[in-house]
Amino acid sequence: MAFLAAPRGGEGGSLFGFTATVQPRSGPPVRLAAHDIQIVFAVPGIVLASIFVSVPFVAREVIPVMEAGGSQEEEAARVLGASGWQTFRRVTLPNIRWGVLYGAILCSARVLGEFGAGSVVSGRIRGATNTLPLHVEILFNEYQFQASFAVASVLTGLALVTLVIKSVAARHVRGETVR
Amino acid sequence: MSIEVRGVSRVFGRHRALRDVSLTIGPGELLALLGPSGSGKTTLLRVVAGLEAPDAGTVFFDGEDSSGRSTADRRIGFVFQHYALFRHMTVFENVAFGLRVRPRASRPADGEIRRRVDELLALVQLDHLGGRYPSQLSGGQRQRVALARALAVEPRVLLLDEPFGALDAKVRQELRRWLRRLLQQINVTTVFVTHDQEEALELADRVVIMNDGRIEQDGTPDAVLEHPATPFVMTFVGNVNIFRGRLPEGQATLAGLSAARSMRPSPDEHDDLAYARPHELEIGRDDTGGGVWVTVRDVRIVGALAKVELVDGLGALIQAELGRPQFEQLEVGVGDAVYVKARRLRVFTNA
Repeated sequence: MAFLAAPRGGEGGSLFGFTATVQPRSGPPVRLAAHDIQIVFAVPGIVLASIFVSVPFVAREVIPVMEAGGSQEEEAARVLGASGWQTFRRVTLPNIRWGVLYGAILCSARVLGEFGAGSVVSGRIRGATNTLPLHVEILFNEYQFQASFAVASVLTGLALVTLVIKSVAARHVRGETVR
Repeated sequence: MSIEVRGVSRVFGRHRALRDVSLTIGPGELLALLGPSGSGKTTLLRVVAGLEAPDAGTVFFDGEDSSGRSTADRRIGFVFQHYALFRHMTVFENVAFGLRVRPRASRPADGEIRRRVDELLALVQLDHLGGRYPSQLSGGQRQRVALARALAVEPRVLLLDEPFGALDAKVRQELRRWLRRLLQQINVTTVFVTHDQEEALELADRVVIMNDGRIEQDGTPDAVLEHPATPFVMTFVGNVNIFRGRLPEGQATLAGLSAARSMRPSPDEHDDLAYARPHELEIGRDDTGGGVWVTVRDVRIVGALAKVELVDGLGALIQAELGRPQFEQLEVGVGDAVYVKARRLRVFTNA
């Protein structure tokens, strides 16, 4: 519980009351707290929340590619004496690399605009755990319209770059699935 | 390296792919597993390779129990039906893979790997294609790459799953002859799976015929062809005419065809089956006894052979094959009546 009692101020406080009621008295959170590792209202929390909302996109891209490829190449690698890790690194991963990249791009696109999950776990500590979309809202609420729009434009720019990379990767993914 | 399969069973859901199969393969032997699809032959090959764990039974390599050994430890060369070449690697890297993944202590130096791979590519006559990717090769070339890759690890046993299955007839014949020479040259115990009887009989020293998860017969190509152990082997290997009927004591009279061959009397009321290959039938214009009159329905001349379709009085089809000059001497055509008898009739009594 100690780590929850240490939010560095800000709007996270209102959240504290709610989270505290569902925290267990022992187990990993308490052990993490003992080592002074903070999850909620810190970067790890944001990363975890982002992973939860975006990993399904990678899975959706990679699973069909792997199914189309079948498992014969992995079996061939095993027979030739490769270990599990060698098989994954030298055979499986190269075959699905575009699928993984494509999924990662969809992931980052999703995460760039993530508001809800980020808002809940980040604590919105300015300069520490604030994300771009959250920052747009904060600035807007503070009537700093120019700054708010500037940040929004940065987001738009990133979205456009992602779009370009996405279409390049999509072509390669089709190649991987067809072969 | 000898292989012994002892009492191996494998079940997939409700399908019993292997039922208590036992088989011994001597060192240096070239063995064919022949059978229709679903007969368990590929499963048996995969069990030997360690890609599939048996539900019961054991595989021994040179008398040593292999149960605890992983596929990687068995030092086996496996050529997959669709080759399973690594798509993202060049031909050279494909062949080098088995050497590159070795633990550092036993991994050859780069120069040594290069020398070995070049040697193998020369052996399979692909020395000029090392830089290509699998997608840029023909089916026959891919097959040879797969073989070179399997041989790179200096396997103690070579296992091939339908090695010519995906190739067209001409390439298949060429590769078959080439593979036979190559295997004689490297002298490694080899087992290959096929559903093509011609392939099995032409290539292997010994043929094991499988059906429904069991071994039907195990013998030399000649024994399997000339002395089939079961009706299944008789019908699966080569063309055959089947005659149904009851066996009177001492002689076979089957659907009007009789053969001067002493046999056991039928133990019960059921029909017995007699089999004669098309080339074991004799056609004549006179009643010489022991045969039956039939009508010629169709004649096809295939190279030096005449394939004749005959119909007996009950409308049953009989296929006969004879040499072309022999057939021309007979001077018969479609619609003519001819006298047919079997030089040889094999009978499996219906117990």
